[in-house]
Amino acid sequence: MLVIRDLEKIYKGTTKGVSDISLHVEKGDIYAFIGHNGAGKTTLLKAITGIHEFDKGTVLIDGLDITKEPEEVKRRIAYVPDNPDIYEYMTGIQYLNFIADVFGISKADREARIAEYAGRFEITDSLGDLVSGYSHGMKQKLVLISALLHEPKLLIMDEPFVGLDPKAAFLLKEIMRSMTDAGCAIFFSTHVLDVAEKLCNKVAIIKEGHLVTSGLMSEVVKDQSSLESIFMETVDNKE
Amino acid sequence: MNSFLTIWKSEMVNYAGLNVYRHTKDPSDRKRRTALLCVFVFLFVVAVGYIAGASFAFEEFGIGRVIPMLYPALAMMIAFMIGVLKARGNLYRVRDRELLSSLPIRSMPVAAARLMKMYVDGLIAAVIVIVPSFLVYGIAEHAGATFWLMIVPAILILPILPVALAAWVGIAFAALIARVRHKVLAEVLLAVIVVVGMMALSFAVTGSSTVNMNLGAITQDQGGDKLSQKEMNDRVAKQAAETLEKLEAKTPFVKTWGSWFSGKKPAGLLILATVSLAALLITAFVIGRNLFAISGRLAPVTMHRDYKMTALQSHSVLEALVRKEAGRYFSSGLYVSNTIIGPVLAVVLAVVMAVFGPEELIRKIGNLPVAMHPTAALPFLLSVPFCMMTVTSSSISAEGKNWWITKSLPIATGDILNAKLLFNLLLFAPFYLVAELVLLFTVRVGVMQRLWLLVVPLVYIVFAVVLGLFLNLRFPKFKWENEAEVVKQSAAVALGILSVFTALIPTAGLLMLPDGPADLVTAVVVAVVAAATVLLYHRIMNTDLLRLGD
Repeated sequence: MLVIRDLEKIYKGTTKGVSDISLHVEKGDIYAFIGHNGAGKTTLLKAITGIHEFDKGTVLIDGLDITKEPEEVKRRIAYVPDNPDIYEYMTGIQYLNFIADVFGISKADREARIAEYAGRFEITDSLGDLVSGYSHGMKQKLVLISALLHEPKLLIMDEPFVGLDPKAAFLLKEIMRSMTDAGCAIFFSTHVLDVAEKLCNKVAIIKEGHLVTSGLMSEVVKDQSSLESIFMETVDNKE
Repeated sequence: MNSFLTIWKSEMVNYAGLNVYRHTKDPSDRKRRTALLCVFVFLFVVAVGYIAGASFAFEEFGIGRVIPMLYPALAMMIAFMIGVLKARGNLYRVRDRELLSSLPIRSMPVAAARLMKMYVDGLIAAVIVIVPSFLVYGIAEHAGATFWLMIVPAILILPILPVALAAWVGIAFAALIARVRHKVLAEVLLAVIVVVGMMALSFAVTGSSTVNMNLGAITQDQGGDKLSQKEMNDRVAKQAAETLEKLEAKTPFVKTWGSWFSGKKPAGLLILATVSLAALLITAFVIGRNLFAISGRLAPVTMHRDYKMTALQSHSVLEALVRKEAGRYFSSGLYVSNTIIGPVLAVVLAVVMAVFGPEELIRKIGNLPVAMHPTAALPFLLSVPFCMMTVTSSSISAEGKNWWITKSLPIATGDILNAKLLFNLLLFAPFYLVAELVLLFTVRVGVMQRLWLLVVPLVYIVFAVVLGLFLNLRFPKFKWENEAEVVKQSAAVALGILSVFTALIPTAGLLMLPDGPADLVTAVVVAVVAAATVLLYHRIMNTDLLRLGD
């Protein structure tokens, strides 16, 4: 579903960014992407979603190259940013309707899906309010709903659990599992290592812009160790 | 087409803040927005009335044919000026770049939708200018069916070309800012150049001998006696007709231009429409090609340097707060460019005074049928630019989501507010000093006049700064998405601009007063303004900051 080959993105005038990144996310994968602050997680996520241009490498999503067919690729994916920065002058329902318009979702489908997800995330009552009045968690729920509206084949999320209440976090995990059961793939960054360990079948660890570990969770976390101890060992290793 | 309509809808949904007005549940916000809406409606009515009145006067003086020449050009000029001021911010936005670039939309429809939003701004200007003037012209000249049928197409066509041209200014600015490292400085410099350029252009047009009439000479006969109203009207009409004929002879296109809109040569309108649409399409294409890339490069970039712990300096609370204010202020190109224009214009005004002298400057602005005393009005005239836009009128609102930091720290209200006042005064001080120095060595006035030249602007600067903070405390706005909402469009800023009139009214009054009572009038005005400043300062210091932004 997602193939990243030798990707490099260095910010101009700096040495910061990511390089030599190669990853393969397959259908049905829930792939965790972990690393310390500033390691390059968001940079990589933005590069593969077409938000940032990158200097080298290839990103294929569902067999399509993000640099050659960006619109087609973006129709198949959804991106949830780390900060739910959305149009605050719109009401929640106006924003969801805007996203539904962009993806060309039929009237019946959008109504059914918004009703379903807004009900499950318990924000139906607030959809008529301006987004500017939403709490961080409510904005996050709204962004998650907007990401699910067009039933993406690949869901890319940057710290999706930040700001969510326990019930919404539980619900998101349920949705993630049911999506991958249906053949979708999920690639997301997180600092919540317990969740990553229990929820994901694959994991990648990034340090200072380079992948240091990636593969099946069962292979990365062996025997009696935990993802937390593996992560601490990996990032503390000065080489 | 679908993408274009979707994006255009999202651009227009909150046009003039209407969507927020419709959905806001905050009663004070609704009240504020209602008041602003009333002000806009009032200004709309005043503008329409002014245009209609001026058109009626043209007809009365027998030069009605100037209407289809002048007003379409005026509508285009206003659309261009609004476009230039808004182009960069409207077309290239950093804030929603990531959201839009993560969606399956090409940048071309986004560019087209944003251009269309600018077009709507121009369209409103065209309606205000064309509808009243053409109605007066059509009725007074008994215009034919062609003229009446052309009004709506003319209104729709007129803003297209200026919007496309203004967009090119936006493209140039964005491309330039995207390339340089000091983006805030570049944005400020470009904004200053645009405003000063526009004022210079307007000054040049007003001062042009081709269009300027000597009204002073018209109101008196050769013996110096005053003429009757009818005689005066006849003279004005005669001189206006002569001026117009001179203009038509000098620039034949003016006459042709007029015939396009008067219904005599409607094919010209078709040419204008074709050229305008072609220009708009080319502009949309050029913007669309690099929209997201340029928008991404407009965000300030910070160089990463490995920090090494060094000895830190300690500051008093007030100094730390002033430094914080300076950091906040200089981090925003929009904030700086919007508030630095006034002081820059004060220096420009001082230089212009130095070059031309006060008497010549007044003559260039336009001769009025009264005796003028520009030196008496000079101190107040110099105060006007300083009052235009203060930092304090948006310094509380500019805290936005960071307001909790100030509120949660153990700082006295006095320190917080004094720091905001002090920073604004420190910012204006160099401009005041330069303007004063320029005038000190160039303008020859008496001792008393020299004293007023020093004192009056100083008193007005302090007054405007204190008034700005007072208004912002009365009308704070912490929830905003775009800085422009607080820096350019907030109620506090709009009301703060009114302080200009406190300097403009004495300027106009003193221009016409004999020199004798001028000192007395100046002293009284200075005393009143100083007293108002002290009163406002006391009111400010009694503000309960903890209740703000709840």
